[in-house]
Amino acid sequence: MSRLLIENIIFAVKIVVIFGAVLTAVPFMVLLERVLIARIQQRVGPNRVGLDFIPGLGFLKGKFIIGGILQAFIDGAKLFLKEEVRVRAVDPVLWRIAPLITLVPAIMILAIVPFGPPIGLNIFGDWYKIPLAITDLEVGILFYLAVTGVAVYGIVLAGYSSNSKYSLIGGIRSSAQMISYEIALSLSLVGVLLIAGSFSLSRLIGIQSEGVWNWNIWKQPIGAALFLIAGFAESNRLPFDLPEGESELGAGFHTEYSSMKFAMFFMAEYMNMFSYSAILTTLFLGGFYGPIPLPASVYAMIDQPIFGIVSGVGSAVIGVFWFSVKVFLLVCLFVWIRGTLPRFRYDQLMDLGWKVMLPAALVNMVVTAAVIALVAKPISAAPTPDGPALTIALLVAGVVQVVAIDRILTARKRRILGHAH
Amino acid sequence: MFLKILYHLFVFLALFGSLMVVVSKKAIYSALFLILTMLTIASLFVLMNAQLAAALQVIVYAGAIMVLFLFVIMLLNLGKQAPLSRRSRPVRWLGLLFGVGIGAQIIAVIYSGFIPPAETTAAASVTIDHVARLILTDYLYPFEMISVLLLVAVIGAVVLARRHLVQGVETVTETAEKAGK
Amino acid sequence: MLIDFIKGLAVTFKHIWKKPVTFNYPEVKRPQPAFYRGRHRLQRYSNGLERCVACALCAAVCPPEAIYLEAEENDPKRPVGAGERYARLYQIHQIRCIWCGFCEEACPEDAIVMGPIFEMANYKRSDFVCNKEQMLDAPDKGFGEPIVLKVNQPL
Repeated sequence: MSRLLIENIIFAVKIVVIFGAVLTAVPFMVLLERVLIARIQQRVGPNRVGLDFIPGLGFLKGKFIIGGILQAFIDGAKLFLKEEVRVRAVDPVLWRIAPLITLVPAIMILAIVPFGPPIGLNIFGDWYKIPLAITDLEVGILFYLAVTGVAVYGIVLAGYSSNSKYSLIGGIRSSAQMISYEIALSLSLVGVLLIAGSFSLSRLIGIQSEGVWNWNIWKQPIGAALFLIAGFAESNRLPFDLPEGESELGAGFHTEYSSMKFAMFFMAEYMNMFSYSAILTTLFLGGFYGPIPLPASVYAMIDQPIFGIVSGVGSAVIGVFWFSVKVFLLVCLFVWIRGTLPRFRYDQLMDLGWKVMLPAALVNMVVTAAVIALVAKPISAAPTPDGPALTIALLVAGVVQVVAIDRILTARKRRILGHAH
Repeated sequence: MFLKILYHLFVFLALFGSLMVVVSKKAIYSALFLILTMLTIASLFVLMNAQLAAALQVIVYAGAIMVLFLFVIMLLNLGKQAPLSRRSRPVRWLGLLFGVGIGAQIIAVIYSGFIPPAETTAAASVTIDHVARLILTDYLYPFEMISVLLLVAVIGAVVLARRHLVQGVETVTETAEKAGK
Repeated sequence: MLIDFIKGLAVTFKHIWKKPVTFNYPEVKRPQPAFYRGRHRLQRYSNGLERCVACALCAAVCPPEAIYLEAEENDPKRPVGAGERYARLYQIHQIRCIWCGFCEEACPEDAIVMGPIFEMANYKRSDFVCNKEQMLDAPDKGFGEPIVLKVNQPL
């Protein structure tokens, strides 16, 4: 077997494994969200469909979380089996492809996310270095921005093709929202890109290795916050879920969808949440690196080749573990904020996007560039962390910006509310 | 081999898409086929190892401009089929003549060797570094000029949209207030 | 402003750790307050005789006319009720009933009171007509003295 063929097979296996793992995670994310929201609202949450049908596990019935662990799968099965209602007035072609267009970009983002450090694999006497990411594009971040840019079409087309007022309004809201927040989203990443000097995600992770103090969030607090907020807006999560605002639009853009097509929209929302968390982890939270690096001797020990077949398993396991923990916590943050904040009004949404986030992102970009120029950071060939000087300078700049934004927002709030307070 | 199949597939899709943009009777289908064309062209860029151009193509055209197109189509609700106006016979013949003329020109340019064949451009991969260096050194002046041009366009749009505020023409609310008094 | 935001998040974070206020319904049922107006109960004396004397005041006062009863003379040898007459047939249509509690107030013998049962779902409309057998207290569980009327009590 030729080397190229084997590499292609490895590639295909990686795609199947990563997508399989993430798609399996989606039902658990649904469950996590339901349980967490229930706890925030002091309810019990789903605990009806658990493992108690297995003989001997009956005592689990009604127990917290475990009692409802199969709820999401049951919901999925229900959606599979449901009758699909198709309204006669829809545009049939667009109506059919809209859920697909929504789902596919959400999955595509995973193609560039690095889940862990590379492992070595010995196949027929040859060693292959397998990075635990499907691909490492030189234009990784641009790819990400391109895919999120395309993601809006599914929602817009769903809204348009349903031929219903609620759906149309939902679609229009969605496109306006996406256009507004995409700019802030892109600009919020510029600071990180300036620090890394590259668009490639492997390099962006490389500069964050060796400890929590090297993570980009210290260098780019504003960038991380803006990216998080824009991520909420782009994935239509709760403070910004105007496209599907239940109280005024029925279900917004997916009002006319049922059965599996609805399930696709549902899945896309959670996949988006996962992708955003993964990208945020990679860009700002050190990716698969743990908060405190182990000494090199430990790595040398755990990365020993096992049976002469695989090497680097130890650090790969640790990497995937830290990556999963970070993504899990971010997903919890998504749910937590959903449980805390009410939905924005449409003018507030536009106001925040254009008058707060866009200027903040621009200022952050300029400040970051200035600080990097002042500290005179050399762009190294190999991705290694920068010294503490840059981190401290950027952290100070970031804190100053946070305080300034807070002051400006408070003054603005007073002005808008008048002197009622 | 595999790349060649992909190349032909994308070329076919691009041609099909651009043809359907013109032929489609519904505005929204035209816009969607235009998006398809943009995406396939981006794929062709990827095949030529120009990842930056591909990403920018998708971000700028498919991600931003076409969303605005769709937005406008949805707002104006151009779903209903607009009847094509029946043009007179000589105009149609004239159109055919121009179409064939432009097509002949394109083919002539392609075969004249003015555009280098695909193989030579495919070899050199254009990285972000190269583009950035060129923009900020050799082409700095045109780059800034384009920025100024865009700024002018933005200001012009604001002035046109807010003309009533600029020229002191009263707004709807002002009229209503006056009528109330 | 950012402080406000964090304060809000802190509030919800605290609530995560509080005990849920909801119940695991089919297994755990919420105790009903004494004044709860659930399914009607027809009461007995401690000797097992029904309190109802079939005066039909409840049927007269019922705003949606959901109560139907047919009276019959008591056989002195084998009495059913404590009074001269008893209700041979006593039906309450539970879809028509508006659970106002007037029957309870109108009853001179405190024979009909409203109980704590609230699970009254059925599959057929005809099943919602509640007969005497479903409402009567069990014979062995009689009440020696008339219970204190639940209405007009402070909550």
